[in-house]
Amino acid sequence: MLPKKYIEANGDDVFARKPVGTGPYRFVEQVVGSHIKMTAVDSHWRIGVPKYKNVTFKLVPEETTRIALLRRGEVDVADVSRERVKELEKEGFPVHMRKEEALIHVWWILGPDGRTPPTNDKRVREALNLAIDRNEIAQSIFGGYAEPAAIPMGLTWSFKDVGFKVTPDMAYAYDPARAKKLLADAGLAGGFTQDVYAFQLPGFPEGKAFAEAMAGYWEKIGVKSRLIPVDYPAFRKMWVDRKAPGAVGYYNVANRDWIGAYAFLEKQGYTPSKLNDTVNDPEVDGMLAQVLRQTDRDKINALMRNVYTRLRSEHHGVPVVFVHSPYAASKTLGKWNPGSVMYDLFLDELARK
Amino acid sequence: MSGGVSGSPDLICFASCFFRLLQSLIALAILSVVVFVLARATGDPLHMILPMNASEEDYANARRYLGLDRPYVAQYLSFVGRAVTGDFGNSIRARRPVSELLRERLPNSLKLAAFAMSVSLAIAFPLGVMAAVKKGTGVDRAAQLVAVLGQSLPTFWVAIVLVEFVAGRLQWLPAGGADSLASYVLPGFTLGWFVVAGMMRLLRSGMLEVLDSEYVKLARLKGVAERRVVWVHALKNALIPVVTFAGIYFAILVTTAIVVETVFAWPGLGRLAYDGITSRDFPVIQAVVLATAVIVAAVNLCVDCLYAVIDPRIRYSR
Repeated sequence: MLPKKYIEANGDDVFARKPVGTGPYRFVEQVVGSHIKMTAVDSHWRIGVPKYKNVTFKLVPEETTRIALLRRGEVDVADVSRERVKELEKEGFPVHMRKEEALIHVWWILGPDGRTPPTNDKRVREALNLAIDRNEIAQSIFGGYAEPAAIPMGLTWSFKDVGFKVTPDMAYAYDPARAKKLLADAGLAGGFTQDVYAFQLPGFPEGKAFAEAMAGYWEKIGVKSRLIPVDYPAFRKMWVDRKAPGAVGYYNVANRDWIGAYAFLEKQGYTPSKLNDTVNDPEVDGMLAQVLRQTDRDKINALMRNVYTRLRSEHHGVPVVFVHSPYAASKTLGKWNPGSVMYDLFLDELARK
Repeated sequence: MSGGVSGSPDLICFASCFFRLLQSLIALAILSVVVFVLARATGDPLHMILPMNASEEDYANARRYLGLDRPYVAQYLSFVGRAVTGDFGNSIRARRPVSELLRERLPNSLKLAAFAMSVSLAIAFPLGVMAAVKKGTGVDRAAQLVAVLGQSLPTFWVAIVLVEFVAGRLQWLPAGGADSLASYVLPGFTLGWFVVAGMMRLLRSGMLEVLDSEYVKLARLKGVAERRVVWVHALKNALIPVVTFAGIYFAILVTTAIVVETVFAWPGLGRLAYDGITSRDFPVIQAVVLATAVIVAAVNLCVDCLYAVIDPRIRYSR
């Protein structure tokens, strides 16, 4: 919810520097590159009097430093990488998981006119999906803090909103033999070559290791995968300019409710969104266009379910895993559920023991 | 003694400083072009700023809003025209004037650099002098070990080790931020550690040379106390290269502490540069590079002039 009069009177830049919202904390100051301070409102319409008078967000880019601050009791909550979880738990710090916070999703860059060979063949897309051992990736790359994903571009927090159920047959089995057969059926028994862009992303420090693992699985079914290390902006340029048709990219797509999921699909799975589209499927386009015009919630839900079903049956991408994001807390912090709402960590529910 | 150059020594000194100033301005002008081009060569900032699912229209609007749709020459001229008045435009990320950000950050970097330099001097001076006086002894070997470690241990490694053990495990000192005097210790030591090595070696070699000179031998023969010979007569002459080194290194400490400021979450220029680079914030990158260039050029200029002042041989030979 935004304050219309305040923004109209002061402009977006002032609002960005001194935001006003409806939450239980009021903005106090922001020192760029250092911290953001907030103070509790006297009585909040949703939670009454907040339990903490002051909240400070410290901007600490280095994880080792964040953990040291936690150990010294200088901070109460610190986001940490999945690989440090066990060590911190061993020291007695409670680690709260934000379950399935993001979908690690892989896709192929479209050409100017849509999909290009060989990934314009559904069998090839399925083969590339079946070549991946999602359980092994969840364990080895993400330290066990991840779950296999089944629906291309399918965000689980939206599934319950629209009544979509992932049935066991939708899960992609790890089946390299069948993957090879599918490639052979598509006339690619000798495999083919594809470029795999490798980059890190915020919240996804495992990015490059992940790309290497994917390339390794595809090599096993005869798909020669050339790893191209880049930074994300460079990859994004290749993607939106469609200069590398068929090349592979990925993103840690933030999980979200059905409206957020629709917004995501409308940009990245909808042909008229030219710039970002990764699907180029008239049937999906038609259903997404209908969602926008539809006002009946049941019909919207049915359309969204059909979109997910279509994305899965056509293998429009490689959904790999849903990752859990860990937040280590001080030993004095009470129960806390970081929640399952995009960009909302339920901080106002925090309570000391 | 004027080495063939006519005019008074003061006039020659002034002309020399003026010539150096001119050189610095030309270097800054060239640098402004280089930084303008390189900042854009790193990629489109909109790819970092806009969300993954931004539309073509979002891109066009943002490009227009930020003035990135204008020809490069127009962007450059506008950048230089404003920069000479201290206006570096608005940060794309923070949406605030970059000059404000520089004003906020520069004092933090200066304070940290001053602390680091003090630490360096406090360690390097006694160690360098003692290493020269007690050449070949255990003190000398210990000093050389410090020098080797100082120059070979990467700054990021020293920083991480100190954060992990001194701050995190032993909990002796703060791990990050600039909230108290104690929070200066770890980043200051990390920054200063590298300088200690260079300064100590320079001082040691300078002292060895001076201690072997005729006037020091004469002072000893005349019965001047050894402590006075070392700390007054010899040290004074061994200091000239150290002054140059310290001046230049102070500028470097202020302007290149990217790793240290990032690891210790220190809100200085280095951190601003890091944030600017990772978010493709052109105005910030340009401003930080130019500001650091101005600092380095100014310090070099001062050191050159100071050098001419404190060493008459240099002044007169120009």
